[in-house]
Amino acid sequence: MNAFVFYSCANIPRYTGVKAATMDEFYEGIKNSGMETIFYHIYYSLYKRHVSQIDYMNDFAEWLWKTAGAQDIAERISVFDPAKIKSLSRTKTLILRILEEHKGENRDFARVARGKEFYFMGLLTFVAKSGIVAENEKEFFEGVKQSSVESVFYHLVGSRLRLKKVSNDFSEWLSVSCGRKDLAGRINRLNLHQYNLRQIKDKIEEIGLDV
Amino acid sequence: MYKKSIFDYKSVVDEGEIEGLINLSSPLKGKKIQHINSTKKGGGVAEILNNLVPMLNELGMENIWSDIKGDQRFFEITKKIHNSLHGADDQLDEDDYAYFEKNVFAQKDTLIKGADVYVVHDPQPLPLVKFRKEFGGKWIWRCHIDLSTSTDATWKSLEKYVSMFDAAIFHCPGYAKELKIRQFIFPPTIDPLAAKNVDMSLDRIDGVRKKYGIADDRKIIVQIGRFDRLKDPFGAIEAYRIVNKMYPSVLVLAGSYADDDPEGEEIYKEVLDAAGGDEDIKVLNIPVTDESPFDINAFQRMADVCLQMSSREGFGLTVAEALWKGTPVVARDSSGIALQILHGINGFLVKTAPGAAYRISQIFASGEMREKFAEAATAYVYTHFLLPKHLKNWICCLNAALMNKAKGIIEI
Repeated sequence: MNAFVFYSCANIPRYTGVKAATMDEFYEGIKNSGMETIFYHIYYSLYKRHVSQIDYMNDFAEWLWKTAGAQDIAERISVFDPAKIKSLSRTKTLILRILEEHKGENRDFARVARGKEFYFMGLLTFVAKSGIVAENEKEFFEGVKQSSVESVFYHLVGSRLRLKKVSNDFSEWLSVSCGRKDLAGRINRLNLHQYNLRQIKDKIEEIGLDV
Repeated sequence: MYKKSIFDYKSVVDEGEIEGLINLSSPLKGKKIQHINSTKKGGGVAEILNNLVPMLNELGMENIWSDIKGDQRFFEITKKIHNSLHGADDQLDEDDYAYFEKNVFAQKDTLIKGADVYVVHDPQPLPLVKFRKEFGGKWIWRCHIDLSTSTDATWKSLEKYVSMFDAAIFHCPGYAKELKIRQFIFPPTIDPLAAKNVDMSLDRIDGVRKKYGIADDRKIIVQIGRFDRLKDPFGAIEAYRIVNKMYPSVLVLAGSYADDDPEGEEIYKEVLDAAGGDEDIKVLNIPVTDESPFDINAFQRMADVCLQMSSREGFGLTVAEALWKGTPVVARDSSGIALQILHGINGFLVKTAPGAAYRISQIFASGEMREKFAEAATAYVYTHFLLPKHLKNWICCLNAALMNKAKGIIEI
C-alpha cells in the first residue's frame, strides 16, 4: 500500500492588473484570464467567503449579483457545481458560454462606480511535505485532524484540478490504496458550496469516526 | 517579560497551521531581511512589525527592523503625503518633495549591507530604493494604506520609486495601482495572544471601567483609534448624541498620538471641545505603556458596540480586534474596513453618523442579533485575520521574491 503524504499549503493572492467595470470588460477579462485566475475566483473563493451562508460562493456570481446588478446571470453562474467539472478550461468555457448567451439581457448595467470594479486575481501556491504520513485509514483520519484548513483545501479542491477528474487526493487514496470506496465516496460527495472548509474538515473527521 | 513563541499559537489555531509555517519557511532559513519604516512606537505598522519580526526570526530568518528619522518638517511633509494618498487635498510643493527626498537619501546608512530582502513599509522611506543597485538583494514595498483615491500628483511623485521594487504588497486589489511589478494581496492581522487581545476576566474588565469612571448603568459605545481627522471622532460623537436620546449611553473615544503624527494633540483638543463637557463622552488619551493594551482590550470587551467612523482606513486593526472579541462593530463603509465587515452578518457598514446611530440602536434592541454577529465575527477573524495567517503570507511573499515566482504551484 502506498502511504498518503499530507502537504502543508500556503496560497498568496496576486492582482493581475486587470479589472472590469462593465459587462464587456468582465467578459473580456474572463476570456483573457489564465487558469490560475479561474481557479482563484471559482474555487479559492470557497475559502474566502466561509462564514456567510447567504452570499454566492464564487466571486463572479457574487460581483454580478451584489455590485453589477446582473442578478439573472449571477444565478446562472452560481448554480453549476464546479466540483463536478474536471478541468479549469471547461469551467472557463462554461462561464463564457453563459455570459455570451445572456449578457445582452442586462443593457441597464453600464458601468459600476469607481472602486467597485471586478479585480481579476491570480494565486501563487507553495506546498511542502508536512511530515504527516498515513499508512492506513486510521492514520489517515488522524492526519486530517492534524492538518490545517489550507492543507485540506489543497488535497480536496486543488487536487480535483490537478487530477483532472471528479475526485480528490483523499478519495483517490482511500479508494485505490485502501480499497475503501465507501469512505472515498462519502468524502467525494461533500458539497463544497454547502459547507465552509472548516465544516468540511469536521465532516471528514466525522467520517473517520466510523473507521 | 515572557517572549512569545510561534508554538504558543497552537492554543489558538490548528496544530497543522504552525507545522505548515515551519515546513514552508525552510528555504528562508538563514536569510537576512531588513524592514524599514518611520516609527517604532505607535500606530498599526509598528504594532505589526513588533509581532512579525521576532516570529519570522523564530522560523530561522534574521529579520532586522530599522526606522528612519526626521525632524518636525519631515513628518509634516510625510503626513501630507499620507493624507493626499488617502485622497485629501493636502498640497505639496517642489520644496516639500525635495526636503522629503533629501532627508531620506541622507539616511542611506540605515540600510544594512548584504540583506537578501529589503522590505520598505509605507511611503516615508520609499526613496531608499534608489540605493538598490549598491545594496543588491530583492526589494519589496509593503503599502499599508488605501491608494484607491490617491491624489494623482502625489502618486506620480512616488511611482518612480515604487516601480523600482521587485514586488508590492497591498491589503486588497482595490488599493493596488497599474504597476509593472508583481502585486501581492494580503491584509494585516491581529495577534490573539497580545495584551490587547488576550482573554480577560470580568473582574479585570470592570476594574478598567471603574478606573476611567465609565458608568455601568448605560450602554457602552467604544471607538478606539489615534486622534486623527481621518478616524472621524467627531462623527462618533454625532452618532452617540442621536443614540443617546433613545438609549442612555456612554461613548469612549480612546487613543494616543503616534511619534510620526504631528497633528495628534491638536485633534485631541478639538475632540475635547466637541464633547462639550458631556461627562458620558470619555475622551481618553492613553499613552503607550505596558498596561495600556489591557485597557484597550477591556474597552472593546465591555462595549455593547464598537464603532469605527474612519473615513479612510488602510485596514483598521481595531475592527478585527473588536470582532475577535465577539463585539459587534458598526463602521463606516471605507476601504480597509469593508474587508472585515460582512454587512448584516458580523456587523454593519454605514455611510454617515445618523446611519451609524440607526444600526447601533438596532443592535441595542436585539440580543439575538448581537449573539449571531458575535459568532460570525470571531469565526471570520479566526480564518483570515490572525497572526499565523499573516506569517504564512509573508513566508509566501519572501519565497516568491527570492525564487522570482508569481504563479503556479511550487513544491518546497
